[in-house]
Amino acid sequence: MKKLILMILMLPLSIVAQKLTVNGTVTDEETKQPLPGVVVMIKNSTKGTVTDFDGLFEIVAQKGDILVVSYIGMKKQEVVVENQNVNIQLQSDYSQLDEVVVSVGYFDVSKKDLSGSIAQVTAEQLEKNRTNSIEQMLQGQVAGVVVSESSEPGGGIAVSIRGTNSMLGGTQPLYIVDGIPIDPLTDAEGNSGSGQSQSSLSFLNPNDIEKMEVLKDAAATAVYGARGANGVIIVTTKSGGKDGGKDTFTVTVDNFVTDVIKNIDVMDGPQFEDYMNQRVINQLYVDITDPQRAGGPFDGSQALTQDNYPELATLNLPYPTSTGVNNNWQDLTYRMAFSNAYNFSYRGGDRKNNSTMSLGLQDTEGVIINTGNKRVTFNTNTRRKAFNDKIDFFTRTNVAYNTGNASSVGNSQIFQQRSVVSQALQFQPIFGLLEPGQDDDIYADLNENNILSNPYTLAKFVTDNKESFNFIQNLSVSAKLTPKLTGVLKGAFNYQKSKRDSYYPVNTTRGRRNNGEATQSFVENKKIYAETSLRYRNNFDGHRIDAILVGTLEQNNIRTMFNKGFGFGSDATTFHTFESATDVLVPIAQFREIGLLSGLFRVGYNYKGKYYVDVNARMDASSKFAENNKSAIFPSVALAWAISKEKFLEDSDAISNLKLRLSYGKTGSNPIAPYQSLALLSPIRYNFNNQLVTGYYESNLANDDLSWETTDQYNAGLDIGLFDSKVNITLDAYHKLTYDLLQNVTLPASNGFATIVDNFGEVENKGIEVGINAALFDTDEFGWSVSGNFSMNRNKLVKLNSNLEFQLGPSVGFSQANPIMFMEGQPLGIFWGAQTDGIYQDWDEAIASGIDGAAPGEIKYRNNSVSLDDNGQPLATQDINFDDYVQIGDPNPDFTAAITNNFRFGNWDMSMLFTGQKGGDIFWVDSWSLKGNQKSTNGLTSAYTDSWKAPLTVLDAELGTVSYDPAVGRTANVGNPAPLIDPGQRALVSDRQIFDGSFVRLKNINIGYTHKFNKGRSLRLYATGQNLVTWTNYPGYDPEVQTYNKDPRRRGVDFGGYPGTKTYTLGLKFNY
Amino acid sequence: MNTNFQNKFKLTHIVAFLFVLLFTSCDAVLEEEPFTQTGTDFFYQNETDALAAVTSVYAQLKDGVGYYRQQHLSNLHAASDQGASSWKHGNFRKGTIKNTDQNLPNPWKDMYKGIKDANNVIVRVAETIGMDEELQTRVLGEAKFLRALNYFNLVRCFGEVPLRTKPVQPGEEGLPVSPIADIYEVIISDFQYAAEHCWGFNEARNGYTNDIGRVTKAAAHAMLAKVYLQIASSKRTAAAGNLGNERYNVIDGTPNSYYQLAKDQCDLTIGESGYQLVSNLEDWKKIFDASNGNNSEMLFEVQGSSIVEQGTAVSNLFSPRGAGLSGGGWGGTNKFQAGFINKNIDKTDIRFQNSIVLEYQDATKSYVLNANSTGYVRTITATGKANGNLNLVYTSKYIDRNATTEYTSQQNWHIIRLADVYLMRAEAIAELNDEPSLANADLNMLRNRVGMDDFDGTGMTMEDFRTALLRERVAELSMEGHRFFDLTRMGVYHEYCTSSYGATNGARQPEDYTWPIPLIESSANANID
Repeated sequence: MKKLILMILMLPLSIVAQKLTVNGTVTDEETKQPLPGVVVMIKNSTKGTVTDFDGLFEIVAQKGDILVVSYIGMKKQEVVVENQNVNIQLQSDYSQLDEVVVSVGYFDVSKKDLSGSIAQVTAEQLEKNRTNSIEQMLQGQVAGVVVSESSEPGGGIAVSIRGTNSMLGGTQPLYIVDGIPIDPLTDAEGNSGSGQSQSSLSFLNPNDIEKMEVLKDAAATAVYGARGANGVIIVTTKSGGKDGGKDTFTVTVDNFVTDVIKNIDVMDGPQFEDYMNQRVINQLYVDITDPQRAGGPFDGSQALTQDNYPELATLNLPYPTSTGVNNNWQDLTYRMAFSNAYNFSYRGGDRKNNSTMSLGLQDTEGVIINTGNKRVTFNTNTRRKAFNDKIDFFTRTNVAYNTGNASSVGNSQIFQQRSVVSQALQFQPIFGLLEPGQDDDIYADLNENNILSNPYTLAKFVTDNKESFNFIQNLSVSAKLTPKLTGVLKGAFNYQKSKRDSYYPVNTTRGRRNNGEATQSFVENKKIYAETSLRYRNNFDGHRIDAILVGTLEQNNIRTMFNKGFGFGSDATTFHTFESATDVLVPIAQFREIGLLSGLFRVGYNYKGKYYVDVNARMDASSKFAENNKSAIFPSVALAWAISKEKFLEDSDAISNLKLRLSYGKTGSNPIAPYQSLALLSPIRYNFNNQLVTGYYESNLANDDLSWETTDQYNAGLDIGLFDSKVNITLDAYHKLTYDLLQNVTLPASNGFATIVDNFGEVENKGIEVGINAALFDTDEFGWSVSGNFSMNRNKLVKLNSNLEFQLGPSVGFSQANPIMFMEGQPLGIFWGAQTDGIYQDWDEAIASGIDGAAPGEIKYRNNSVSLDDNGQPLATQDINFDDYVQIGDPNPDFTAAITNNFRFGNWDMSMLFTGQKGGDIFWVDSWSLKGNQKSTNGLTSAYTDSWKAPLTVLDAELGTVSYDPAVGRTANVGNPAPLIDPGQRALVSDRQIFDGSFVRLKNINIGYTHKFNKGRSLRLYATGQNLVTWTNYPGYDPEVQTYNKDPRRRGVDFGGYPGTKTYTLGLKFNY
Repeated sequence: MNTNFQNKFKLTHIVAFLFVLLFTSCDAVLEEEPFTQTGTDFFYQNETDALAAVTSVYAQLKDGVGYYRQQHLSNLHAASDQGASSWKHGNFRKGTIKNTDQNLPNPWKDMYKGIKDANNVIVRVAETIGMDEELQTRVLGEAKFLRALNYFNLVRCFGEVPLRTKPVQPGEEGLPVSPIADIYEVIISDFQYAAEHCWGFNEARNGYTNDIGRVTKAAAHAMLAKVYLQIASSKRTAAAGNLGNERYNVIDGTPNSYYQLAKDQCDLTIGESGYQLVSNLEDWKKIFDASNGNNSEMLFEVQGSSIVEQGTAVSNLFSPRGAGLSGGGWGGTNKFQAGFINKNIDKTDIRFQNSIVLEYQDATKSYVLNANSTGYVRTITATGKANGNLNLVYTSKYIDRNATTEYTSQQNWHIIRLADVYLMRAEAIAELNDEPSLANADLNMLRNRVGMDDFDGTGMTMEDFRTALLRERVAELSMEGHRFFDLTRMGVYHEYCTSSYGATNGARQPEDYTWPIPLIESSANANID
C-alpha cells in the first residue's frame, strides 16, 4: 500500500523533459472525434502518457522512436516519431471488444487482467442452445455451475454455483442485469400456499443476451458483498453500435416440439386386476399360516376346507372376471406439445449514438394437457455520448408479460399433496374418464374411501392461472471528469407483479368437497435502485491502477394479497367472482419493506501486466437484521501472477499464457424475511356469544443478535494457454466456509414457538473445477473445437446448532415423514432412514427376527439398534424406530461434467453438448406407493412381478376353494413386499425410496446452415434437439428434475414434479 | 489537463456531495416498521389489550388443525375403544404409536402455543398498571384456566412433559420433562385461581360482561373435580398394581383424599348458578343441537360459529359423509365399531339409542340402522336394491345441517358438561365409602330424566360398580372425548380395547397409557432424549 501511494506521488515526476517534445492528437477514425484517455507509450521503454479530453498528448521522445498507441476497443497502432506533430486515427477493433472485456461488477476489465475466478459465456455459445430460459442456456457451459431442469413452461429453474452453503439462502446466485441487481420473480401464493418461484430471469428474452459472466470466487463476488455468497451472474444484453454504424434487423423463428422423455411402466388393466386378486390370496395365506392363529396355523399338510379354515368362507376375489377397462393415465394426461417463438430486433447507430429495440413473442405448450405459458418481452435501449463525448447517457427499458396455466401441477402440494404427475402413476387403469355430471366420488369404493382424483380431470378442469408483469427502467449518466476519473450516476426502477388465480370445479374431488374452491392472489414488488460511483484509472511506467468507489441504495416495497372462497353455486364464473361464493375466507395481506445500503471501495493494481493485486472493501447494511447488527464489512484480496510474461517463459512456443491466481474474501447473505429480529404480536380471531373478537398473540420471538450469514472463501486458480492460446485450460480449487448460517432453527415446540430465524452453524464446501477448451482445427473451410468442464464439490455440515448435533429437515410427502437429516460431520441434507434386507420369506424367518410386525411378505428392516430392557437385556420384541435409522443416501453429486464439440464445415455448423453427473441420490416420494404393494392404487409393473407371492392356487373363487401349491409361490429372494389387504409397516422412510441420480445425457445437439447474402445479410437455418438421449438407472422420469429445486433444505427430492421432457426445435435466423 | 481543473473540481464536488447525500438520507431505509403486526412493547397497557391478549389464548384452542379444531379429537377417539378414526390412525387402532406418528406433532405444538400465550397473559397482564382490578384478576383467571386445561391434556396424553410457566426468552433452551407431581401442582393451583377469580355465566361487573363462551367459576370447579378424580383413580389403580398408572405414585396423598376433593368440587360446581340439567329426553337430545351451543348443561365449550373461519370440523369428523348432516369434506372418520357396541356399551340404553344416526342418505344410497344397532343396511336409492352392510354406526351428537364445508360447523366442542359432574360425584362418593349404592342418587338423576329406570348399587362389589359406572359414563358421554381418559385412569385400557378390537389389535401395554413425546420435540430439545 505504501508503495502505491509513493507511486501516485511520483506521478508528475515520471514525465521528464528529454530531447524532442512531440505534440499529437488521437481521434476516432469513424466519428472523427478526439479520444481522451488513450495510452501512448514509447516502444521498448516504460515511458508513456495519456491523452486529455481533447485527444491531445505531449511526450518527449527521440526521433525514430516508435509510439505505441492503444485504447480499449481500438486496434493498436504504431507510429514512428519524425517531427513534433503527430496525428493518429484509431480504428475500431470489434473482435477485441467482444472477447476481451469482462464485466466484474460495476465496471468492465480486460480479461487478461482478471485476478478472480470469472467465467464468461458469450452470445455465440449461447446461440447454440435454443432454449426457452436464460438459466438453461448456462447448462454445461461453466465449471462449477449446476443448472437444474424444469420442464414446466415458465417454471422455476435453479442454479447453483459451487455447491450449497446455506439453509435459507437457497443456492440461487445474485443476478445482475445490465448493472442492476434483480429480485427473482416469485409466483403469488397459490392454493394450499404452494407458491413456487419462477425462472428468475423469465422476463428476459434469451435472444437479447450479449454475454453472461459467472463470478465464482470471493475476489470476484465480494464486489457484491452482501449477496455474493452464492456467486453472481452478470447478464449483459445486446446493444447497438457494434457494427460501425450499420443498421441490423434480425428475425428469428423457432418451432419446438416437446415430449416426455419416457413413460413409467405401471400396471395395465389386466395386471392391476391380477394384483388386486393377489392381495386377497396373499392375505388369506398370511392369516391361515399365522402361528398365533386360533385353531393352529396351516403348515401345508392340513386339508384346506372351510371347516378347518373359516377364513376361506370370506375368500372373495374382487376381479374374478376382468372389467375390460384399460386406461394408461400417462397417455391420457400427457401430450406432445407444440410451441413457437418469434423474435424481432433492430440494432443500429455508432458508438456515440445507438439504439436497440427488440420484441419477443413466445407461446409454449406444456406436455401436461391444459398447461402452457405465453410471453411477450420488449426491450429497448439508447445510448448517447454527449458534450464532446464526456457525458454518456444511457437508458434501458425492459417490459415483460407472462401468462399461463399451471393446471395444479405447480408442485406436489396441491391436491391432497399429490400432483397430477403422482396421480397419473397411481390412478387405477381400470377406471374410465368421468361422464358429464359425474365426479370423483365414483372412484371412492375402490380407493377404500380415500378419494383420488383422476389425473385427467385434475389437469383438464382445474384452473391455475399465473400471470406476471415486469418492468425495469434504467437510467445512467456517466461523466468523464478527467481522462482518468469517471463518475457514474445510475438509477433504476423495477416493478413486478405476479398474480395467481385458481379454481377447482365440482367434478374434481377437492372442488366437490368444498363445492367449488377459488383463490385470487398477487404479489407486487416495487424496487428503487440508486448507484453512484467514481472510477479512477491511471497508467504510468508499467503501473496500472484502477480504483473505484461505489455507493448503492436499494429499497423494496413488497405487498401481497391472498383471497380464498368456496361454496360456489356453479362453476360458471370460476375464480372471477367471490360474490357467488357462500364462504369467503379472511383475506391475508402482507406489506413488507426492505432496505439495503452499500458502499464499496476497490483498488486494482498491476505492474506490467505481470503482477496483480486487487483489494476490495465493501460495507453493507440491511434493514432485516437486529438494531445493532445491521451492517457488516466484506473485504477481499486477490493476487495474480502472469508467469508467462516472465522472461523464462516469454519465448516459449508451447505456453502462450500462464497465470496463477490466489484470492481470499468474505461475502454475506441476508435471505430472510424482514422483521425477524423484532418481538411481534399478530392478530388472531375467536368468537364469544357468536360475536367475532380479535386477540393478539406473540407470533415472533425477538432476536437481538440476528445478523449476516457470512462466507469465507479461498480460491487458487491457474489459467493456462497453450499453442498460441489454441488450447486454454482453467483450473480452480476453492474452500468455502459459511458461518453464522441463517436458519429456521427448529425450537422445541414446548417453547411455544416452532421455529426462530437465527444465526447458527457452519457449512463447508470445497472443490475443484477444470475448464478446457481447444480449437483443434480452425481453417476457413473447417473448424472443430472442443470444450469441457468438470467440477467436484464436497459439502459438509461442520456445526449445526448450539446444542444439537442433528436436526431433521422438513417433512416430505403426504405422511409427514422426515427423510432429510442435517447432521454434523455429514453432507448437507442427507437422507436418513431404515435399511432394508429384502422381504421376509415365511413366518419362521419373520418370528426369528424378533421384530414387531414382522410377517411373511413384509419388508425386512434392519434392526441396527437393539432395544434393551431395564436390566440391559434385549427386549423380546424389537421395534424398528428412529434409533435404527442410518444414512441411506446423499443428494450431493460426486462430480458433474460437460463436453461440447463444435464443428464448422463451410456453411454448416454443428454442436453437441453432453452433460453428466455421478452420484447425487434421489428420494423418489412416489416410489413409496408405487413399490409398496400396500394399497389399491396402481404401482410399478416391476414391483408387482417381483413381489412376494403366496403358494396358493384358487380353484373356485365363488366356492372359496383353494389348493396349496408350492410351485406357484414366490417367497424367496423377491424384491418387493407382498400385495396385501392389511399390510404391515411399509411407509417407513427406507433405502427403498433412494435411487442413484447418476446420468449422462446428450443435452443439446444443434445443426445449422448459414447462407450469406451480399451486404452482410445472412440466413441461418437450424435444428436443435434437447435431452434427446439419457443414460441413467433412475427409474423416475428424469434425474435432473427436482421438485423443491430452490429449497436447499429439501434437495434431491422427486415428488410428482413435472416429468422430464425432450425438445426438438426447427428454426431460422435472418439478419438484414 | 490544467485547463479543466476548475471544471473537474466542481464535478467531483457534486459527486462527493451525492455520496454524502446517499448515506445520510438512508438511515430511514434501515429502520423496520412492520405494518401488519405490532410490537410487544406497546401492548398490555389497558383493559382492551388485556382482553385481546386473553382472547388469543382461547383462539389457540381451535386455531391450528392440531387441537380442538380437528386432530386432537380424532386422536382421543382413535385411542379409545369406541372405534377407528381416519386411515392415518392405524397405529392408534393397534396401540403401536411411535414418536414419529404423524398425528402427534400438531396437537403437541398447538397445546404449547396456547400455553405460551397464557404465560404471556399471566405475567404481563399482572404487571399492567391501573386497569380495573376485577377484570384484571378475571383475565388472569381465564388465562390460568386455559393453561391448566392445556397441561391437563398434555399430562393425560403424554405423561411427563416440559413444564413452562413463564414467557420463553430468546435463546432459551428447551426444558426437560417434569415429574407429573409438579405438573399437577400447576394445574391445580391454576384451576383454583380460576375458580376463585372467574365470574359467573354471562355475569356483568363494573361495566364488563363475562361473555358467553368465557371461562366461568363453575367450569373451573368442574375441571378441578376432573383433575382430582383423575389423580384419585389413577393412584388407586396404580396401588392395585396397574403399571400404566405407576407414574401417579409420585403424587402425595391417598386416593381417598383426592376422591374427597373431587366430591367437594362437584358440590361447588352444582351449587353455582347458571347451569342445570334438562329434565326430559326431548330436551336432552337438543343439548347437542348445533344451534344450541352454550346451553345450560355446558360448563365449558370450545366455540364454533358460522362466522367466517370460526367454524370447527367437529360435525364433519363425527357425522356421515355426503349426507347433508355435516357439510362437505371427507368426514365421517370417527364412528362406533360393532365390537364396541356389542360389548362395551349398553346398546339398549336410551341415551345411546338417542345419540346415534338411525338412518341417512347420500347421493346414491340409503342407510338404515340394522336390528342389532351395529351398522347400517345399505340400499341403492334409485333401484331399491340391497347393497351390502356398513359395519359402523355414527353418533348424532354433532350433526350440523347448515355447515357448508368441513371447517364451517358451528358445533361447539364440549370440554366439560354438567352431567359429567354428577357422574364424577357418583364415582367419588362410592369410592370414598366403598359403597356403590351411594352413587344411586346422582346416577338416577341422569337416568330418570331420559325415562330410564333406577340404577341400584346396593350389594354390588366395587369391581362390578366400576364396570357399571363406566357403562353409565359412556352411555351419557360417548364420543365426547372422555373415553380414553376414563379407560386409562380406571386401569382397564387393555381389557376394554381387547374386548372391542380383539386380542391382536386391542392389546395395550402399560407404556400405551400415554403417547410418546413426538420426535419433532425430542430432536430439537437437547434436554429430552
